[in-house]
Amino acid sequence: MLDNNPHISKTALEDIHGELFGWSLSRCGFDNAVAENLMQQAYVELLSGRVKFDNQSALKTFVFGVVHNLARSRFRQQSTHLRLIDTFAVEQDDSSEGDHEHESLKAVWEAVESLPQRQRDITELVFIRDMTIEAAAHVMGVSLGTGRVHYDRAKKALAKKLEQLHREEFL
Amino acid sequence: MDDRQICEEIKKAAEATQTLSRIPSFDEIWVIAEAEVARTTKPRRHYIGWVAAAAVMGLAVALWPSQKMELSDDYMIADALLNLTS
Repeated sequence: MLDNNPHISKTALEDIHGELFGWSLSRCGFDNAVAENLMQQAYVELLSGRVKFDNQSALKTFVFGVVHNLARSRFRQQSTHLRLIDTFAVEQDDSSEGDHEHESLKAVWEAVESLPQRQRDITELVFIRDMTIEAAAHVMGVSLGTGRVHYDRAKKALAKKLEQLHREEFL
Repeated sequence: MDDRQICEEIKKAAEATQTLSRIPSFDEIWVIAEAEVARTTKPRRHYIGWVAAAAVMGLAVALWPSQKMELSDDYMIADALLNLTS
């Protein structure tokens, strides 16, 4: 157990480390260095006890929320800048030829990225990180009702985009 | 297109995007975080030392007049007592 956070064990954090890194990556435009920094900051917050886990939610939900808030407050400008660089890099990469499956997966991911921020967040938390809508809403700091609305809108938008992608593939 | 299909497609796409990134080991990041916490808590201990030193100095200064009283002559003590009783 951590000295300043008696409800958190190091092994429990180690178990969700991989998933948390994936979440950190998506918070900062898939930049490894920034994601590592973000993870390190989150662990500092937990170790120092600046954020306290009170066992009211699942540890995964709590830690994802810590990373989300840190990314929002401390890396807002940096991540926007990096997302711009990333967008530019993707545009440049488009000129190179890739295999068909990779291209199709890239198109699906671009469909996710094109969603409004909150819809994208809830999509990632529910579909990729296997969270309930309630836990995802908790991480995002919104009410369950708002979370459900974002989830429903995201699902409808994605279904439409994915169907469109499939139609394009068959043409 | 149902929820399960959407979920599967997005999961595959996310994995493909994220496998391009190297996941640093837990210990790699944890060690740095521990060092950072140790570094930031150090000045606080230093600060406590200064507070303790200042408290000792303050006590010495506060006690100094009473020592002077002990050294003063009988007239000064009598005068002080008269002032208190009047």
